[in-house]
Amino acid sequence: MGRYIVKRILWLIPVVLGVAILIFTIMYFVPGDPAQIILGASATQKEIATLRQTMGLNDPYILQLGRFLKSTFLQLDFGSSYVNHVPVFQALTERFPRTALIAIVCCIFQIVLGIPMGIQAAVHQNKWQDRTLVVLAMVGISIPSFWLAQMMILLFSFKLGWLPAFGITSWKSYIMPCFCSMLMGVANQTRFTRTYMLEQIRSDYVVTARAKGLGEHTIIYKHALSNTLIPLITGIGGDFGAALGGTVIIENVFSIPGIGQYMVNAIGNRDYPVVRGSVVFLSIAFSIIMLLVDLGYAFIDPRIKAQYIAGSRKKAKKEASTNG
Amino acid sequence: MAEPTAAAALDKAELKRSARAAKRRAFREGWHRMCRNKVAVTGLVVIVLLLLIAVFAPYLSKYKYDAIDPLHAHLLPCADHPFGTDGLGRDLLSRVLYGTRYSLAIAFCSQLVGIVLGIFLGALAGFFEGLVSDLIMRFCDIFQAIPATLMAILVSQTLGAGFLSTVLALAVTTAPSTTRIVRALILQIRNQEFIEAGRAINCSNGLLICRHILPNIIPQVIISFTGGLSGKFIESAGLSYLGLGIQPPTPEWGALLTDGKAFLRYFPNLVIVPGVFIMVAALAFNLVGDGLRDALDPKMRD
Repeated sequence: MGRYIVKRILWLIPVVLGVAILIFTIMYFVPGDPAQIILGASATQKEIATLRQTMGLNDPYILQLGRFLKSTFLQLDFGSSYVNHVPVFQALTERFPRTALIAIVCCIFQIVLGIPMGIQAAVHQNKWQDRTLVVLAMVGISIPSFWLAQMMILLFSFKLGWLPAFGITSWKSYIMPCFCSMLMGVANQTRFTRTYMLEQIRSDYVVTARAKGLGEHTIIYKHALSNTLIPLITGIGGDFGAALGGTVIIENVFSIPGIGQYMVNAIGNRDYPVVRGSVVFLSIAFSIIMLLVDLGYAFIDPRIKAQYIAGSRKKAKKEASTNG
Repeated sequence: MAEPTAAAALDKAELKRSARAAKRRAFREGWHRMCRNKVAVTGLVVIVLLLLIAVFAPYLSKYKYDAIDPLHAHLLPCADHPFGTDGLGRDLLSRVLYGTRYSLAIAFCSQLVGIVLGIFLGALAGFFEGLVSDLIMRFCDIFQAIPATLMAILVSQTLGAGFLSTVLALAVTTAPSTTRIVRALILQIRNQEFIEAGRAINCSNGLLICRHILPNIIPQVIISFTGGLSGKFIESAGLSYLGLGIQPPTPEWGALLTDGKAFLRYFPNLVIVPGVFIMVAALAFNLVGDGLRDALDPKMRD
């Protein structure tokens, strides 16, 4: 088990490095000269040339990449904004809690709403409960979140005046953003849970359990559910990534000062260190969540545990045989 | 499925014919099962309608999509303009109808590019063990470590606005997951007897992959193609919403929605209408995707 954990944690390093290299490489090809962007349209050729030299923009790609990786990972320096010269890392850590809050609330609701609804639908397959939930989930995955957000602003802010439309003033400001960004996740979770649960309900061991005379409740919640949870838990890491991505758009609808808004504003200003830093930062956060989910998963899924215990046993046997 | 081990006994042409007939039967069966599913058929009807709108947009719309008419700017829905007009007096109905072309084209093209790329890489990774497979899968790991929306934003920003770059930006997010699916499917097929038989009669790798392996995964590929299409509508609109992707003068639905968002309070029709179109399209493709999955997925057959 310990071996699996160490292996999985070590695997994080090449992935995060790869992500940083990939993002740097993509951004390297963005048209436009950073020196020109910083100095503005009125700069002379000579000024631009000097700044390019001091920024190291004339160096070969590989040297620039090395410098980027070194400053990002060894000094936690994500560069400074071209526009207001605030260090990117500082701005990111300031804004991250708001983005993370929305993404985490999404994931929590996805679990506490989506899974029970999926189970209800599967247990009552083809009855009205199932039909209603399937239709709701289908509509839920088809509504664009940013459009729903605007419809909600129209109704709850402009027409009824119940909730603030923009910015963060109190906890009320989080209601609409969280609802909009979680809708698709909850709907998806309901659909997946229903599918997996139906698969389990149709399987042989459930028939056996019924034949033994076990109560339906025990069969569903004790036996079928624990098997359904395994694929669902693997999905949670990916759902968090989707929630982070969704938050980027939702933050812009509600003008929430999170990373998403920071990044999209930067795209408009061609403020590349900010864009690059934001994506690297969120991707690292995502990778760490994936790591945690995988580790938690290893504790739940007996197959992974067995694999490693069996592996160590085999190894022990081998060692014993070579020693003997 | 054509199994060359049996080829010795049967006439080759006969075998081919029966294999083709079996394949056709399988598809016809799937199609019939799909047609019995009323919900999926409704979705299909909506998709056909959307396609017709896209093709006949110039004949259906009363005005040109870019005809500016400052005297009739910001009209709420009325008899002349059923959906109202925008800030420059352009008829919203005409713009939405023309927009169908762009939105459908982007969704189809990006999904197609992503799936084809995924099949290509997945086939390589599934068929060739060792370095090739490892390299491709590690690349997938890295691509999937970046949340899909962020990846699309990044690529879209780098390539600039426009049709082709939007298609690529959206395709990049589909390719890694398709690669994974295709690889897993091919790993299952690769060690079956008919592939071994193919090797025995000296089939080249390319022939084995294209003629004997890929046809076996067509149902799953169709399922993931239609299943992902609805997401592409929403994603491409999301990119436009952030000021990337298709830019406003082009009447793509997402761009229309973005155009209207500043006037949400007083002219909500500018936001409601394109949004409803996006939603209906996404819903239709989801319904058909589900219907196809139920009809083609062997696991779903009872």
